Amino acid sequence: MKNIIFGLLAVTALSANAHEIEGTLVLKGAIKTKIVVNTLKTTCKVKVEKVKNLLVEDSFGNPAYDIRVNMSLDGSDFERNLSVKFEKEYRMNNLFTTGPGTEVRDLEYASTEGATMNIDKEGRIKAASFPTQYGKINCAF
Amino acid sequence: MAIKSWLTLVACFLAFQSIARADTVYTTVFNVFESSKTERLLILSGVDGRIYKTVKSDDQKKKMKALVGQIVRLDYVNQGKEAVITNIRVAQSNEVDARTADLNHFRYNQLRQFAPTDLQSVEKATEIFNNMLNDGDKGRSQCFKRAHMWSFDMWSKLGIESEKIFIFYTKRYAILEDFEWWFHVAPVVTAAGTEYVMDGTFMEKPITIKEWKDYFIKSDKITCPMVDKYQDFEDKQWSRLCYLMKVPMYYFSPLNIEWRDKKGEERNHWVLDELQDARRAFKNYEETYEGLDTGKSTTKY
Repeated sequence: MKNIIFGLLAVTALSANAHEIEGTLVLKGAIKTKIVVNTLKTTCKVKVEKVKNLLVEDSFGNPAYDIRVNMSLDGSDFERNLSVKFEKEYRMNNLFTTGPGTEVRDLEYASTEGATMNIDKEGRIKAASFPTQYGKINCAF
Repeated sequence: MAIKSWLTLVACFLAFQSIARADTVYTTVFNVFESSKTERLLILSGVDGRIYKTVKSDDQKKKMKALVGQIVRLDYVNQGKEAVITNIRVAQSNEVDARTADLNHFRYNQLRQFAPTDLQSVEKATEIFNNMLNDGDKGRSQCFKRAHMWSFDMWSKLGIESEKIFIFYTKRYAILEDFEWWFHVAPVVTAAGTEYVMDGTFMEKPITIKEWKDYFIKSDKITCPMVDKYQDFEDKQWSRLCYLMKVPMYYFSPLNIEWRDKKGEERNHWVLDELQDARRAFKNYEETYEGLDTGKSTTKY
């Protein structure tokens, strides 16, 4: 019985400190890559414009970031008279709902409209995905 | 008629007694200053931080200077706001035990245990708050100087041992919120077991630590962990927005806390140079705190 209680206490203590963020700061600036959308070679551009504190924290006390990101697509083929144009500014944060609580993640961001973004440990954008009239677009950097 | 005059005299004497009540204190003479405003010598008492006054003369000055650092029996009368010395002499060994008596709070004392005073009611805390020196001019000084004088006044005038609470803002908060301060501090008192922050500059009454934190972090959804070590704040500048730290009233600035943790320099005493510097937090400080004037220059803010 004693062992069970100690075991439970240990698990509780571990889970209380289970999640601690690094606080990785997203670097401001733009990054581009080429992708194909509807058979068109298109520029996918992601620009981080503002980084603030959300002033909300997760179940473990980690504070979240609040960022504004502009995501755009630009491609055209004059010969075929085709073009791909998209631009939208997303407000994203890194506070995620996980079962009974919430969790701040260092390297993942999401917006309420379904856009997501991943960064690396240095804060550089590694991937972005966002819904458009051309379907869900995925850009890797 | 003679009886009537005699009774009047007795009545006058009793009235005088009630105004100028004689008292005695055993203390260490910590410092002796010459008043530049009055014909007084100012004696800074180590046991209570009070300034006791006596007549200025060469002989008296010599006598008082000779008592600096000594444990004395000091007899005085309160005249208005002044405590005027009627007699002062070196205490005899059968009067006070120099080894155990805690008579100088301007020196570190290994045996001194810091214990915050419980004011028993929030009404008492409010009364003290309302009487704290406050000229409403926060531009003339930094928060830690005001906090230090409030703490010192509470101790020297009312015998209250208070704490201070620091809120330390991390780099993450300071950079992203474009915030110019990296810390703020105010005294904390305990009343009926609850701690209240006495922030006379920003608040209109004593408030709880949570209310104070919410105000200064502009959110009730952010927690600032209460830490014991300065290193806890230094090490985690990006995973938190703020930290809280409580220290005894004697700690003047964050540097004192850093030195406590890195060099082992504990504080359970006042430092006169810091008080001399802090006193300029308030207008007319030369008069109000003349007894804390060491003659040294002080920083502007």
